[in-house]
Amino acid sequence: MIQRVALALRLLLGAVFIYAAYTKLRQSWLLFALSIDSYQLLPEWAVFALARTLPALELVLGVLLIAGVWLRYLSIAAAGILALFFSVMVVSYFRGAGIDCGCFGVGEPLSAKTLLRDGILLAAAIALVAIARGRPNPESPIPNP
Amino acid sequence: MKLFAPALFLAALLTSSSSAQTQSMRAVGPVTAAVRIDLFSDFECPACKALHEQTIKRVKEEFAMKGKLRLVHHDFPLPQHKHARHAATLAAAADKLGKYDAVADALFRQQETWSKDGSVDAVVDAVLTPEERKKVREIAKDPAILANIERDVQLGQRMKVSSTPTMIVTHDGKPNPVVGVVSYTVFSKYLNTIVGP
Repeated sequence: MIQRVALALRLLLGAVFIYAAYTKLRQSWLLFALSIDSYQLLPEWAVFALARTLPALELVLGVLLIAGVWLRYLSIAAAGILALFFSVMVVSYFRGAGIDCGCFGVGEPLSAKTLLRDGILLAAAIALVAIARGRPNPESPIPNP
Repeated sequence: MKLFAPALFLAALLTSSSSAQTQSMRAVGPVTAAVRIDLFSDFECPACKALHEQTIKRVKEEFAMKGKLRLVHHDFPLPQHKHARHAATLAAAADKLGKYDAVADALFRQQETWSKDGSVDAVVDAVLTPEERKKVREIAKDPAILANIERDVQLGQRMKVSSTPTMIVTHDGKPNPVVGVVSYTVFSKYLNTIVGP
């Protein structure tokens, strides 16, 4: 049962990361840079660096999650990225910044709905971390009891 | 998003006909430009002030006035801003005298003051001659001015504008919304990739 839940979670998260990457990679990377810039949290050099690298990172993470490899580490990476997104979105939302979410390309305002969606994904990623930690580690020299 | 195309066509029609009659500073750049920015802004919104002062003024100078794109200002006074509509009315009236930029700059510069005490007229008066003040007051009474603002608001609603400032950057017939405050460095880099040489 637990393994089925883990499979569902990593397929869900993998698909979401791949779709997020696709929506960003099909448009000019500078449009994504504008979305990041509108959060007004990063210096310009960091905005450009993030806009250039994040979509590729999301794509790799999505593919590896679906492939089911290095799940212990990738689930932590997915939860970490989603926690970062979620905290930035919460801060911006309550600061009253009327901006785009930037989650899946342009044109989606940051709203309670986007916060709820990101919160659910974060909860899914945390659940996957918990399941992956409970699994025997095939790389460990110490046999699991 | 599907509503953008007819709404933009309507916007182009409205702004091109009005700019043919006056030298409006609310619509700058050639009508035939390959890139068009429709800016929806509210004089009482702090983010609009930041975008105007950090980015829009330079975009106007470096891109629109050099004929690289068309920049069109649309009023989008938000209901929670009680003096925004009056400010927009005076700015639109000042535009008829070619004083839009001076009035818009003053309104944004002193936004913190008049948004609290409602001294919109005083702020506008400070950048006009006594004769211009009289004319602006007269023009501002024209119902067409308020009707134009209302038309801008309706256009924004059709274009799914939900907050200010929002810029709709249209290139190759494809509208891309840019919402919130963005820096000139990032925005100009994007514009340079679409305006061509």
